[in-house]
Amino acid sequence: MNQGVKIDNVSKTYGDYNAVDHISLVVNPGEFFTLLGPSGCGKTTLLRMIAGFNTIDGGTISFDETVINNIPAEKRNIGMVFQNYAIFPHMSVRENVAYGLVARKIKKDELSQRENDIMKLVQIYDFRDRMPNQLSGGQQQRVALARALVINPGVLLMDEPLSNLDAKLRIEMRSTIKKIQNQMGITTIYVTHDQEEALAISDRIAVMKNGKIMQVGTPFDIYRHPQNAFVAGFIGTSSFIPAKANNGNITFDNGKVLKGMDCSYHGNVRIALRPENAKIVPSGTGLIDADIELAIFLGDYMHYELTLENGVGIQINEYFQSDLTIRKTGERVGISILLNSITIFQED
Amino acid sequence: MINRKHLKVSFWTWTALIILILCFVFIVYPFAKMFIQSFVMRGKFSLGNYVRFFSKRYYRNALINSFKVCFAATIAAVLVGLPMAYISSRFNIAGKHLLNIFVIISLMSPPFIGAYSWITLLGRNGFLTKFFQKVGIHFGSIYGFGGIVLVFIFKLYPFVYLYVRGALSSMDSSLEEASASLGIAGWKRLEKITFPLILPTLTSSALMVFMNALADYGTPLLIGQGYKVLPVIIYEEYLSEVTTSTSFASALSVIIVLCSLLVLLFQQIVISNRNYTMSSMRPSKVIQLTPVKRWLCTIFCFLIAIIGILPQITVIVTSFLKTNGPMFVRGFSFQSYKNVLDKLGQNILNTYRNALLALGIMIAIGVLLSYLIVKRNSKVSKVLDSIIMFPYVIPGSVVGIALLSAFNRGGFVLVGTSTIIVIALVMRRLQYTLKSSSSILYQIDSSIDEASISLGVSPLKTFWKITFRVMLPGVLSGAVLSFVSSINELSASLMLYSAKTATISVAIFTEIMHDGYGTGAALATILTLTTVVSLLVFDKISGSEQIL
Repeated sequence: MNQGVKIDNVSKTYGDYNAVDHISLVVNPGEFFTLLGPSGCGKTTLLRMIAGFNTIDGGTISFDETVINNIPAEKRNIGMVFQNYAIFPHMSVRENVAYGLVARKIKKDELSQRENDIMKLVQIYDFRDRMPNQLSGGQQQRVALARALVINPGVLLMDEPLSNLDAKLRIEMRSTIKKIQNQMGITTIYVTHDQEEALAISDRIAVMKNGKIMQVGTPFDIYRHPQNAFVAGFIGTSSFIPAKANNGNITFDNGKVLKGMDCSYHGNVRIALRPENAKIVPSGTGLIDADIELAIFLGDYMHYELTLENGVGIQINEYFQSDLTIRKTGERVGISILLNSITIFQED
Repeated sequence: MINRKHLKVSFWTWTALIILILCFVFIVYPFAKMFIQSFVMRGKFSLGNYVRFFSKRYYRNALINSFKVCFAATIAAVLVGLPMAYISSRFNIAGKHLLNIFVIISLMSPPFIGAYSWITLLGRNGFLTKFFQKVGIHFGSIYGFGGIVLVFIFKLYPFVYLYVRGALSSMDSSLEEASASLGIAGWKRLEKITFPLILPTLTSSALMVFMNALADYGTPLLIGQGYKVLPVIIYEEYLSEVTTSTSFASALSVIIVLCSLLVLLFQQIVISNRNYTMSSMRPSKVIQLTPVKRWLCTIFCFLIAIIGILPQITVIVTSFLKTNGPMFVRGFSFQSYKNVLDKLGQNILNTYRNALLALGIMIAIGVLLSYLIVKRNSKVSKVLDSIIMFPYVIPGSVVGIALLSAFNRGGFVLVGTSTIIVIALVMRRLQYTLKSSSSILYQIDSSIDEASISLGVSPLKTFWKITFRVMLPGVLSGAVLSFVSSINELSASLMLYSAKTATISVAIFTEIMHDGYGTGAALATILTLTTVVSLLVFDKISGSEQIL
């Protein structure tokens, strides 16, 4: 039942604007694959091309071995979950869930069996006779999920399904979706702009920008080994410190040099630094001195925003341990960097 | 697979094509023909009709009178409707629901009834005139300019009230709160924030008042006496021309259409660049007044509303009076209703049949066309939208004359049939259904269609199973107005009826013109009753006050 999806050199243009620019991707059967990027990067456009709501201007999309470019949306056997849930407002929960089965002319016994199974799995069985306007946002999202899953789609497509939920519910639904996906083993393509959500839920992620793929990889890869500055900045938080590189030596603006770094670049570079990969030390004892602009207490860690001597702003998180000193806004400090966890990019 | 896709595209293409053809046959062609005919005299091209109009003081005065009456009525209707709308939308006055029902009833009153009733009340032998004379108060004559304006104000102020109330209650309350927090409140805020924001709505409601006043000829005919306005002249010319041609009436129609378009243009200029989109997150708050203020405001609103429905009350009472020929005598009876059933059963039947038939057509066209306009966004549908707007903004008598000049001879004769009346009803009243259908479609997100398609239902089936069903309440809210205003339609029907196809409103007109006041009143009561019942039924079905 689970289909692989092959996207081969696919394009979508609006006038002379390339919404999707020659993208190739392979999504394996049973995989949870996420298209991640800022708004306007083409992720939703690509998803809607897979669904059949946008035409494909160039290239091919295949489910397993079948090219689907000319198959209309209603024949693609996909399940789709929309950002605004798109629950049919004039039908009860049960009727919503049964809608796709009725269209497939499933016999009555099997229909109510499948309908009940999925409603129990998604935990909406108790609301089955309610109308949509009697449901909360989270419940509506569950109905949308049940309605998409009950038809046993080859591929499940989800377009920012959690963005209308409040923070707590979002995390709860995220787990629900992931568990159900694991259980059913259904190939899922998920669109989001929320990098934390993408990291939490995906088997693999494609990071997109301006209609192009920036990097494809597991959440771990993408976080720890970003291939370019955009990915480093978009996934998690990175601060960028300018420096000069020469034969593995990195020279900072204040004249300090890091020797023997694994870096083949020459000339201007930027060092991407995660907030958790730097430490605050007394002024003068670290790599670079900085002024604390803002110190924020966040429960299990302190978040600092600092300005380096050369005016560049960076962020550092320090997790509470027994010996942690809380710094104050306005203090002058030094910073030291965990050298094996930085990434160096050449300046464009 | 590709073939199927082809098929589904062609359903909407076909729909657009069919509506386009209907538009050309029943709107573009008749008006073009009327326009051409206005330049014909004794079979030849000539400007004679227009020369005749502008060279005679009689006709010129009618034009000037029309403008005077319409401007006066529009300004007065705004002065009455605007404060009333503000009070009812912002303050906790008593009996709002009843107030709104009163307002809608006075808007939907059968034509002529206003003028006729005001004469019964304030005319030479009116009930109130006699009453006040006994107490020693004498007023001037109700006939002429003043009377026409009086009738128009209380028949047409509901446009202002309903439009403005809608705009005011959908205005986000944070806008006014923001103004107050910046130090501008009270009257100053009304001037700086509230008024500018409702100005587009206010001017379109004023436009509706103006157009309706310009189109009405029953009122000036009855209460104007010697005071001639353009529509009265058109009707008189039309009556005197039936045997020959309608060329002078056509010229008059062209002139009145041009006047309408001029006013429309003026309104568009006033509101240009002032159409604001407001996201109404929190609808405006209703302010709790102190008891004294609350009752003063309530009394003010109800005073106007009751004056507005006074004609209806008069008519209902009159319909139960005993009659002896044209004279009313003491006591009550059902004589007028008996007369109606004996003589005019056919008219009642015609009215309901025409209106129901027109309603079906309007719902079909309204639903399909609004989908074309909103969801498929094609150029053809934009053109259709403006063509269909045309017969809505011009006087009904002009629609009647245009249809007459197009379908009175040749291969396609419709004059004298009920069909032509149904066509006129659809042309004039489609707008309500179309507007309400479009506005609900704009609110329906395409994703519910897509959800259905992704579940394996074809786009066309999805339209019927999902889109249409979700649209239905919105469609019906406009359709009920289309229906109610169809049964009350007079100005086009009066040009197009024959003995067999006459409707209730036509019968009211002829009865009143021939002193059959009792039967006229009974017929009017039947129409009012139908109007109220239709509105109440709709209210029950929709479960809310969605009307207008």
